[in-house]
Amino acid sequence: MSIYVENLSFAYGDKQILHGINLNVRNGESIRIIGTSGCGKSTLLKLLAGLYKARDGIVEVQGERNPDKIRRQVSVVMQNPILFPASIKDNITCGHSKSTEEIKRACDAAQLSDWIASLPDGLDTHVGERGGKVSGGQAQRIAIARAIAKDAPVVLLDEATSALDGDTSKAVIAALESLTKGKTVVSVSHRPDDLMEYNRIYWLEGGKLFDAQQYKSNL
Amino acid sequence: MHSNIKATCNLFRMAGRIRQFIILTLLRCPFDSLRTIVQATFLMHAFDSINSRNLNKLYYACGLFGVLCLFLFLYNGTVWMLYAEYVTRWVGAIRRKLFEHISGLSLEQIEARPTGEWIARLNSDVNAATALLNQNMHLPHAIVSLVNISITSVMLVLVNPELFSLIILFAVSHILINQLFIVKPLMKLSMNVQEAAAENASDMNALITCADTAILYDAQDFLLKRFEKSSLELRKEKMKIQHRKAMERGLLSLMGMSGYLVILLFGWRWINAGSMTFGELVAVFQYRGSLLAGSMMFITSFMNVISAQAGVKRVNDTMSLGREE
Repeated sequence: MSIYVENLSFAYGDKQILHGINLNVRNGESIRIIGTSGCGKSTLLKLLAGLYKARDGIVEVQGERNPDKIRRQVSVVMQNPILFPASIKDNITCGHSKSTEEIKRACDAAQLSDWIASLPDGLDTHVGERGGKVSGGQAQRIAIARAIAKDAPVVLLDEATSALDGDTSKAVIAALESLTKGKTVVSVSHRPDDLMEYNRIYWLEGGKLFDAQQYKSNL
Repeated sequence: MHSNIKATCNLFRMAGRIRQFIILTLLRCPFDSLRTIVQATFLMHAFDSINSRNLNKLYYACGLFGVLCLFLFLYNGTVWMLYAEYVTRWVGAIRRKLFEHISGLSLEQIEARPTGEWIARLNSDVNAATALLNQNMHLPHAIVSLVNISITSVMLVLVNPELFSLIILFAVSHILINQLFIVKPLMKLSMNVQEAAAENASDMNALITCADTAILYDAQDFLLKRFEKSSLELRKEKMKIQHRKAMERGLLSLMGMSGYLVILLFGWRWINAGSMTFGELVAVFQYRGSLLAGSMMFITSFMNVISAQAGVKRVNDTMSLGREE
């Protein structure tokens, strides 16, 4: 089992966000979790990413329950990715030693190579603070390249396809397909779309997780 | 130089209370010169009284000296108290106006520059600019020292014009060397410090804003190293300023001591020839001390004013950013 969640509950102080979540995702499987704003999608993703510690219930990713070790097993891509105020190269490697070949492969897979080749400083181009010197689509593809370079077995997508439009959309979708190929994928979003294919779809409401088919029939 | 004066005037216009500043600076002007004249005159009369064994004259000189010192102490204390109050309000006014202006900028303008840049503009730039009036040696010190130098020079000419020429020779060469090797590079170094401070603040900010991504991608060490690098860069730039200031202190000792020995030699000859009394030589040393102290005060405060220009220009630059209506 790639992701195993049992009876997971989570609260910010007195405010209960997640109630008794159970989830099993097998290796290489991709699932989608849909829910309205504030329903706890991002909180669940942070727990799966090892950014929060599960105090009530079990979160196991690739057999690891320790958040420090969980973090090594996951890559996360967000709708508004956070870039370091550094070069494209540093944003992809995160300061780790990576070969030129590895970086090039990540850039190719993230559909970045043509754009980088057109830049005077290439990979050494500074992205500015909060990615201010690159467009939203470019920033997202840099974040995808970073995730590809990490090569973690589990990929978590937080609204990664929610704000895509036109040509940017195609490039980002292609990049996401390269990133998620053969990986376990959990994608959270506030609305359904058919940009990517998933094995299962869940609905998160009131802090509880429902199978989407079952949820529809209940309604 | 012209642009520096213009930038300083803009800063004063922005803060307001210019008339109050002029009045307080004028009130501060006579103190140093008066103190020098009182001390030199006292020493000249005291030593002449001792030489002529006139005890009554010595008592009179000592009594008068005591009363004048008390008056000077009270005068200086009162003026300083008023000045300190003025500076506090002046700094507050600049900070408030700058903050109001930045808050009125559009999000597009804010996001065009790194957060560290804005933090630097609100903190270190204001601190650097207001150093014009609130550091140890500042703009009014430069004005006060100029008045002191002028009055002391007149007194020296009256006592001994030859020695005055010698003292001026040393003082002018000192100022020229200082200008060439210390004052000029200082302006550029100060600007570098402000830029390095902005970059450093930006890297510090990334430690917080990029925390979750850094944790996920094990990049905390990378961000810390960037912060460390920019901190070292900032320290290196600050050290360059300290090197120049150390050079300035070395130059001061060298020029001061050599000038002292030359005057001593000439004074000894003239006393032996009977054309000068010991009291007059002591008074010359007193005036010389004041003239050099005034020159040093002028150089130091001028250097500080030059350093502050980096902040003044950046504050003016921030205030000149157009606000969207």
